[in-house]
Amino acid sequence: MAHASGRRRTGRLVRVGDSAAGVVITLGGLAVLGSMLAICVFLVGSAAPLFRGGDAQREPDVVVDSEVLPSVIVFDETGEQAMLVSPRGRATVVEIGAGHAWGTVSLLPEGVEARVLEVSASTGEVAAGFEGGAFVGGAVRSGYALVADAAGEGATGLRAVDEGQADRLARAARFDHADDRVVAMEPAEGGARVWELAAERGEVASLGDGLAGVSAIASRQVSSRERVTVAVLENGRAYVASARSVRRLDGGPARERVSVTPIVEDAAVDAVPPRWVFLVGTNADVVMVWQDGRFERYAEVERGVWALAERGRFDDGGTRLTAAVAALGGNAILIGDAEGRVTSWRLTSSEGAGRDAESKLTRSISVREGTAAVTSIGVGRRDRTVAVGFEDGSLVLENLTSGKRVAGWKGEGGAVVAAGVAPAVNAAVGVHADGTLRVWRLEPGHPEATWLSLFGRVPYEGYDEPTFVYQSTGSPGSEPKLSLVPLIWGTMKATVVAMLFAVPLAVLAAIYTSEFLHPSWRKAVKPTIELMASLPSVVLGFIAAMLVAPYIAAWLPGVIVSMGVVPVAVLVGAGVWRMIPMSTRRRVPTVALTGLVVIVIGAGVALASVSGDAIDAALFEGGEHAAAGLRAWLDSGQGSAWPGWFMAMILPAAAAVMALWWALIVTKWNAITDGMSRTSAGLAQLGVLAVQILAVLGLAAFSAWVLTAAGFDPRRSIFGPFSQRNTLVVGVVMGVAVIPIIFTIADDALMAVPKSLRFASTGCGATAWQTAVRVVLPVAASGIFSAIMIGLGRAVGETMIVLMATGNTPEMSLNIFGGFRTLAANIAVELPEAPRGGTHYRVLFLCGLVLFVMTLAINTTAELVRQRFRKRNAAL
Amino acid sequence: MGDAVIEPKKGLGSERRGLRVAEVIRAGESFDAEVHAELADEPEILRADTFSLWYGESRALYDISMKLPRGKVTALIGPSGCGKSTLLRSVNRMNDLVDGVRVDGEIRLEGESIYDPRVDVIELRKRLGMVFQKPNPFPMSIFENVVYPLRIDGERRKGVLAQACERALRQAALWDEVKDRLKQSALGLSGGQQQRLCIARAIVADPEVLLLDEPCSALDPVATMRIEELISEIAERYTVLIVTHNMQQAARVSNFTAFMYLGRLVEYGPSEAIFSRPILPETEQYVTGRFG
Repeated sequence: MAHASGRRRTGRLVRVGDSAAGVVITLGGLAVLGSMLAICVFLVGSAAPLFRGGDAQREPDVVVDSEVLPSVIVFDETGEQAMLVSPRGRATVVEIGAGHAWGTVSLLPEGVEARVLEVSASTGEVAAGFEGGAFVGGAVRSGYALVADAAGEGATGLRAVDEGQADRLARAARFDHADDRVVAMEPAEGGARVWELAAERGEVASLGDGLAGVSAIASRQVSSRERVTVAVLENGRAYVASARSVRRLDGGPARERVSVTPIVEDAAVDAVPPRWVFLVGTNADVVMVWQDGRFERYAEVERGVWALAERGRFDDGGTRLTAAVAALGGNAILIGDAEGRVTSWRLTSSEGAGRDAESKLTRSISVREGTAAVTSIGVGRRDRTVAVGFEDGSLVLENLTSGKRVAGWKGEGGAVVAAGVAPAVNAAVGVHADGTLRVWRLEPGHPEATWLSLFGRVPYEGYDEPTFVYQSTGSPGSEPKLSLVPLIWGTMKATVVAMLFAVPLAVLAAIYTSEFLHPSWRKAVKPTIELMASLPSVVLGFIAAMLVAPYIAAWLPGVIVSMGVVPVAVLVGAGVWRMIPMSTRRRVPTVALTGLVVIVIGAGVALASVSGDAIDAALFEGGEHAAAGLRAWLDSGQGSAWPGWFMAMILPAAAAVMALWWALIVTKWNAITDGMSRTSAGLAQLGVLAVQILAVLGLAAFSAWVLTAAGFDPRRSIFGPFSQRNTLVVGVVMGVAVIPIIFTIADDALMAVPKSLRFASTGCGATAWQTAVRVVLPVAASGIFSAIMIGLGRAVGETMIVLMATGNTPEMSLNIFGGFRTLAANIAVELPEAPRGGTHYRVLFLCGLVLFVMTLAINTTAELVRQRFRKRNAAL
Repeated sequence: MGDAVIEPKKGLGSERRGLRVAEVIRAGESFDAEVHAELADEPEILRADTFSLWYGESRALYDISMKLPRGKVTALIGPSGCGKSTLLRSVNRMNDLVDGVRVDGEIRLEGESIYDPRVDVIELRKRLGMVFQKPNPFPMSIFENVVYPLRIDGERRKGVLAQACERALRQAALWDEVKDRLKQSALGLSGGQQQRLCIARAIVADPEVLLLDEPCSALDPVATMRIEELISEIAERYTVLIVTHNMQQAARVSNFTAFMYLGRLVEYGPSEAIFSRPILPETEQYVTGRFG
C-alpha cells in the first residue's frame, strides 16, 4: 500500500492492462458465441436444401410433326438427347437445348409399319405388334460415340460402344438396318450417338389366325437369357411369346428358341379388348388393363400354362383410365385417370413365400391429384422420379418414393401427349398435342427427401406396407430409404438402456460418498472416479466389443440371473448385518464395511454364474416345445413364451411386492419387531425377505402365465434374436462411460447442501440414510437432475462405444439382445462414403442437426427444471 | 476450537488483581469448579463426570463435572471458544459427526452413559431436542418441518401428525401465525418465526432435554425477545440447556448458569447468584463485561 506517498493511485499500466483484458475477454466471449452460431447455421444450411424443390430452366422448344405424335420418350444416360417414339414405330431424336430434331427414322424395317409399338422408358424394352397378329420384342439402348470428323475418316476414340459398332459408325452416320440392329443418328461436330435396337432375330412370333391386329403389347427381359413378350389381339385373344437364347454345344453363336403360348383363347366376340398389357413382378405376371378401370392378372401356374390369378379394379369405379405405364423396372404399374390421379400399383404377396404365395396387386402410392385428366406418364430409368402430363397442358415431376414434387409447369399447346424425364433427372420434355415439344433442363435438388420420407412411414418397393427404413447405400438403381426414425430410435434405445444402468449406480454412489463415506476416503475416491471420465470412449468401445460382448454372449444365463441374485444377496447380507450387536457393528470401519459389501456382491455373482446354467436349463429346456436353452429360445422363436415373460416380469413383480409392503405392512411390521431382540428381529427380517422373494417369484410366474395365455410373446417386443453386440452390452459399457459424469456432478450437488440441514435432521434423531433421502436428496434434486441430464446428453451424442459395440443395423425393435444404429454412429460410418453436396451427404448433416436438436431439447429441459428447483430452494 | 484458538485476554491480571483461577486455568493446572450449594438439592436429569473431549490433538473440554437439574433452564456462558457449544453438542453426540473426535469420562442421561458402545446414538438423539444457532428449517412445508421427527419414526397416521403439529406449534407460540399456511414452505417465514419453528420441531417428539445452541444470535432484538419468552414458557415442561453469549439473556431466562473458560467449568450456580454475587472474581468480571 502506498500510504507513504500520501494518496493511493492506480498505475497507468494497471489501467491499460485492465482495459486490454476487458477487450480480450469480450472478444473471446463473442468468438465463442459466434462460432456456436456459425456451427448451427452451417448445419441448418447443409441440411435445408433437402427440403427445397428443384430448379428448372426452359430450353428452346422443338416442333415435331403433329401427324405422328410420339407416345413414349426415351432419354439417353446423360440427359443430352431424347428419342421420341410414335406408336407406329417412328423415332425422332432431339438434342436437348439445341432447339431442333436430328431426324426421324423408323425403328422397323423399311416398309413395315407397326400397329402398336410400346417402349418402356424405364427399361428400354420395345415391343411391336402388327396387323395380322405378329409381334416382336426387343430393347432400345443408347450409347455415346465420338468419331474423328463428320467425314468419318479414321475413328480416334470410342466410348460405350464396341469395336464393331465403331466401324459401323465410321462407315455411315445414317440409318442402316441391313443387320437390323443399329439406328444411328447423324453425327454432330464430330460426335455421334448410337441408338441401338436389339430385337429378337426376325419375327418372334407370327400368329396364325391373321384375323385381328395386335392391340396391346409388352415385352420384358425376365432373365439374362429369356425375354417374354405378351400381345393382346383386337379379338380379345392374348398370347405370350418366350424367346430363350440357347447356347450351342459347338461354341457357336447362341440360337434363339421361341415358344408361343396362348393365355386367353376364347374371348367373347363383343368383348372390348384391354387397352394396356403389362408384365409385372418377379414372375412376369400378365396384367391386362381396361380403360374402365378393370384389370385381370394371369400367372403362369406351370411351364406354358397360364391361368387367371386375380381380377379387380384400379379405382372405385366411375373414372376412366387415361394413361398407364410400367415403372420401377417392371415391378410397378403407374395408372393415370381422367380425374387427374396417378396411382402406383405393385404386386405384393401376403403371408407365405415363393410361387404359392397369395399375391395381390395393391396400391402403394398415390402420386398426386391433378385438376385435369392424366394424358401421359414418363418414368425415369434409375431414379424414382416420374413426369406426369395432363390434359390442360401442365407437366409435373414427382418422386415416387417420397411423393415430392420436383418441378411443374403449365404450358400452351393442348394436352401433354408424351412426357419424359432423363435418368439423372437433369432434363424433362413434354410433347403437346399441337406438336410443340417443351424442353427443360433441371436441377432436381433432392427428390428423395421430404419431411415424410425422412420422418414418416414410406411404402418402399418390396415392402408390403409403409415402414420406417434407413438404407442409404444400396446397389445402383435401388431405392434409397432415408427414414431417420430408426436412427432416432436407436439413439433413444441406447440412451435409455445406458441411463437405466448408469443413473441408479451413479446417484447411489454419489449419496454414498457424500453422506456415508469417511471424508478422508472421499478425497481419494472422487478424483479416481473422475479420472474414469477421461477414459477415451474408443477404449471403452474396444472393451465392449472385445471383452464385454463375448463375455455376455458366453455367460448369458448367468449374467441375467445375476441381475436378480446380486440384489437379493445384498439384502440378505444387510439382514445378517443387522443381527450383529451394535457394539460390534460400531467397531467395523466404513471401509471394511464396503469390503464386506463387495464380498457379498461377489458371492452373489458367483452364485449366479454357478446357478445360471441350471436355471437356464430348468426354464428353457424341456416342456412340450423344448428349446435348447435361452439362446436357442431367443433365436429360434420356438418354445413357450412363459419363461421369457417370467424372466421379464421379475423386476415389475419385485416393484409391486415392495410397494405393497411399504404401503400396507411395514408400519405394523415395525411395531412387531420393535419389541424383539436384535437377533430375533434380524431373523424375522430374513424370514420376511424369503417370503418377499417367494411372493415376487410367484407373482412373476403368475403374470407370465397370464401373458402367455393371452397370446403375447416377449420375443416380439423386449426380446428377440440374440446378436453378440447388442443393446445390453451398449447399456452396460455406455453406462460405465456416463457414470463418472453423473457421479461427480451429483456428488457436488449433494455436498452443496448446507451442513445445517444435515445437523438439523441428525439432531432430530434421523439416521444417515433418512437424512440423505428425506432432506439432502430433495434439496440436491436440481443438481442431481442436471447431473442426469448432462449424462443423458453425453449418452445421446456418444459415438465410438455404440459404433463398436453394436452391429450398427438400423433396426427398430425393443429387443434388448438386438443391435441398433444411432444418429452419431450413422454419421461416423457413412460420411466418408457420401459424395459432397448429394442427398446422402445432406441427410447425414440432417442427422447431425437432429442430434443437435435432441441434445438442445434435453439441455433446455434440464435447465428449466433446474431453475424451478433452484427457485424453490432459493431461500436456503 | 480448543486451546489454539483461545487468545489470552489482554490486560487480564495486569489490570485487575486477584484473578487467580484464570491464571491457574491458563497455566493448564487442574482446578475444581465452584459449584453453588443450591444445586445439591436439585433432582438431576443429566450429569457429566470428568468429561473431556479432544478434536484431534487439541483438547476442547477438561474434566467437566456438572449436573443438569430436571425441569429447569440452565445456561452455559463463557467467552468464545470456551467449549460451551462443544459441551452442548456432546450431550446429543453431534460431535460424533466431526472428524477425529475423542472423548473421555462420562455423560449420563437418566443414569445411562451415553457414550457406552452399546448405546444407539439415533435412539439417544430421539430423546433430546436440539435447536441451532442459525434457524435451519428444511425446505419443506411448515407442517412437514414440525412433524419430521415423527415421520422418521415411521408415524404415518394423519390425525396423530396433525395433532402433534398443532401442539408443538402452540407450545412454540407460532400456531396463530402459521395455522393458515401449514402447507406453505417454511422458507417463507421470517428468521424469528423460523427459529420458533425449529423449536417446535425440537419439542414435537417430547424430548427429555432441549438443547439450545445460541438460539437467538442470528435474530433481531424483537425476535430474540419472543424466543426468550418462549423459552420461559416451555421451561415449565422441559429441561432446557441453553448456550448463550448474551449475559442479560442468561440472567433473564435461566434458573441456573454455568460459567466456562478455556474448556473448563469455572462456576456453576443459580443464575441470580452468578449474576449478582458470584463467588469468583473471574465470573463477576465476565458477567459485568470486563473479562472475556
